[in-house]
Amino acid sequence: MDALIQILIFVLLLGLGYFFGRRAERKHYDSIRKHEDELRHVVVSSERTPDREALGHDFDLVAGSVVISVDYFKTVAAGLRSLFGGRVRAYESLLDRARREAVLRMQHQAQALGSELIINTKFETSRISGNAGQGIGSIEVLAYGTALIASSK
Amino acid sequence: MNRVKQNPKIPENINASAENPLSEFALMLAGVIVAIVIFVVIISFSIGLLAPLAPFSWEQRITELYSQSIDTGEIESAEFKAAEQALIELGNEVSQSIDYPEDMVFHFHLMEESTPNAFATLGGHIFVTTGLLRYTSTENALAMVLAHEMGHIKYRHPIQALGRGVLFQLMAVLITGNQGSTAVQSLLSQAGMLTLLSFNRDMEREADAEAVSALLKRYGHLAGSDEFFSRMLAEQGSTEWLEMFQTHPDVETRLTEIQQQMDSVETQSVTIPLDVRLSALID
Repeated sequence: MDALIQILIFVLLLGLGYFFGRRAERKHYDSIRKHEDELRHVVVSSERTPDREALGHDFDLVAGSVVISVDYFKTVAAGLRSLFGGRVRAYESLLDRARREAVLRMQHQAQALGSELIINTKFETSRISGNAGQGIGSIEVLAYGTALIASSK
Repeated sequence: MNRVKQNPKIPENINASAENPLSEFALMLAGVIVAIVIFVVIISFSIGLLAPLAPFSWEQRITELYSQSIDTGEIESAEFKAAEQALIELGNEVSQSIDYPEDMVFHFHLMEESTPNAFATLGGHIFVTTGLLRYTSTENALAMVLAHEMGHIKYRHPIQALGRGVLFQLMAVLITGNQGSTAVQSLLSQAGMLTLLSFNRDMEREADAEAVSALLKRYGHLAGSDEFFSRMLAEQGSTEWLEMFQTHPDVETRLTEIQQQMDSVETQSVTIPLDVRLSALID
């Protein structure tokens, strides 16, 4: 009986994680695509130096940071993956979402500064361990770059 | 360098897969469970062969450490002590109808507990709860339960269970190590637990067979021996029965088996009433 209850709880958590995790992911992707379209005019590049026409521009540091939590289903799926090896697809979409969201936030900040070009974009990823050291609790992705702002003079 | 005027639209599903994660998950889960089941079967089988070879005195040495704490419980009433004495007397009498190794010793204990249950553990210790006495109105029924538990001890089931449990825990730790999440670890132990449960069914059958032969030897018939199971089955809905279910699965099948054997033996036999010291405790 004990074993049965534990299995039921496990399946329930798994189901909840799957259902809400999928729903959150779908909604997030929808919102990401929408905002990417809106912010398409704020160009993000990895170029390290500004090109000639932007030489007189002001510049400022812009950053966007996102923290995303893993759901129970992903944790278990990744745990199983760690036995077999291979692509951890469950985490790939998580990081993909976080990276794109971080860029969007950085773009928002640049837009607020009146910039239409961000150069030297870099990413940082760190794990926020809150799970007693077991598995991944949540991740932070930070995108930062230099926003070039056409001077008003 | 020509500067783009707009961010390009990123093609989807390059960095993340669009595949539904469920199929991948199901495949991995099935793989792990198959591996676990195979492993547990192999381990359990070899323990079943090896554990009975361990001398009984080893078991006794393990339980000697704990027997002190068993005895120093609450202050028992005189009524309870008398009932326990009656249980010990009955157990000792029934044990004479069982063919067990010379170095084996049985110890009978009565437990103040409303859940009907009886179990055998290391060192020949057999526990019967006071709740079980409500389900055994005759001596024959109680003797059946006691003989069943003695059967477990005779076949060294407790030490096999211990060995399997230890090895299984070890395996779970070895496979998942420190990297595996707790969720996966609990999953693994669940899969193993269920496999172990099916092994327990064979043990129950073995103990049942031993009990049936002991009762035949002692009373010459099997009348009343099915009482405990029948009455447990009649109360299927109650939680007590559910608790019973986990340690003694397949009650119905076993009951049928016992009843079949009853039919083959003469049934016009009289049962012996329960010892007054025991029946006094129920009311």
